[in-house]
Amino acid sequence: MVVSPFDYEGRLAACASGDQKALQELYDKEAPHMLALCIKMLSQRDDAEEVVRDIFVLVWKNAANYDPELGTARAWIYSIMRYRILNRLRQSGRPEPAEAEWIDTLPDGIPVRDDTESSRMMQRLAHLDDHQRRPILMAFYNGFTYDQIATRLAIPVAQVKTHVRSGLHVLLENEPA
Amino acid sequence: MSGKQISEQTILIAEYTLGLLNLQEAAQAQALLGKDKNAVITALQWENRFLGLVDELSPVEPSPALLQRIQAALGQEMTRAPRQSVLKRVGGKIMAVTWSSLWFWRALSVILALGALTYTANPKLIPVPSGPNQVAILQAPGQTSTPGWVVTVGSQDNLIMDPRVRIDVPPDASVQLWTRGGNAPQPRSLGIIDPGRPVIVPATSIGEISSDQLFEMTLEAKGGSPTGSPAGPILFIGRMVTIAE
Repeated sequence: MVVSPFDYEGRLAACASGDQKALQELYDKEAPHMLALCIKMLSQRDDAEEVVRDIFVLVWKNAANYDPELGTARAWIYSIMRYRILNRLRQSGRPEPAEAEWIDTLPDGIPVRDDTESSRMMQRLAHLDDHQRRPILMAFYNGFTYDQIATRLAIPVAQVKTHVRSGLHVLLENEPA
Repeated sequence: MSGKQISEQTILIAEYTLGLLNLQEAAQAQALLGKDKNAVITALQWENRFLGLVDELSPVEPSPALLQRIQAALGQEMTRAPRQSVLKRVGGKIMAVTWSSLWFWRALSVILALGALTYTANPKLIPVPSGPNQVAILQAPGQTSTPGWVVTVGSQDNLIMDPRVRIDVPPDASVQLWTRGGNAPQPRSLGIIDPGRPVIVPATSIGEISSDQLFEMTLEAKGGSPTGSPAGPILFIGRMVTIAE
């Protein structure tokens, strides 16, 4: 089972009250995953570690602003991190190697490991048509915009939008109520 | 089809969460998030849905100093020694180094000089065909006395790679070959290799070999680095040198 009993919300609450051990536990649990995504998106390990450092600093300083009613703590952390990465990509441009290698680095298939909602979501993603799934993965893993995806797939932007939106609809339609 | 009502706003927020939008569209989504709590909830729901994609990536061990840097930035007490790296899996015979580490590059220049000397002192070590006399000795970082692989350029400009040592690769790992030449800012994957057998890399894959082309083999998750860049520890590394014209 992949299901983790790790209490992200509890750790964030503890961080908000100044518990340094909670931050370290959060780091031990999540930093390797955060770094993996950062490296995937930025292609530069040094930049990726810098982002992870910044995010943990931000998490510590803003933990008191986290509202569990808005969403899960883990999603909150990643929303901050992805926003920061995307800003960095937009501002600095993208190194050439990432452009050349993106297509080799997308997963071909998405295994379903357990029965968590996250895993079921992956199953729904895996069952999308390739022309729907691929641009969604290119956006998530590479930070590409519609325009950039259209360029790389050599198809019109409007067509990419249609594929992505239909894919997103399918993901939601097949989601349990 | 379930016939579930899905608003355009929900899709717009998904597109924003994924980073698909241009500046104008993103500004529209941000304005929405700034005034509508439900939009924020929707955004975090999308983020949560896609967390499974994060978990599909093999975790990458941070540098030992990263936690200390975070604690230092927050003025916190540094609480522990560096984490144990994954190197134990290959018997501690290799060192974790990165392409961007200054001390590594300094050490590498010494290693490469020794490697070149080893080769020129033992010309029968490998058969060098006619053509460009270029060779690279790949060595395990920190082990300057043992050539791990000998790399030469064949008559058709193919790259011929000959293993000189044997390593045990964990069943859940792969050895990936990388190269970086000229002014390329990043290494490029040449694929997964069997570390126990000679490898021939076609000229069409390798492209033009620069005078200081760098090669390395890293231990990656099964099937190769999930990041598109070297993410695991370096097993062998070496730079191409021209030994004669």
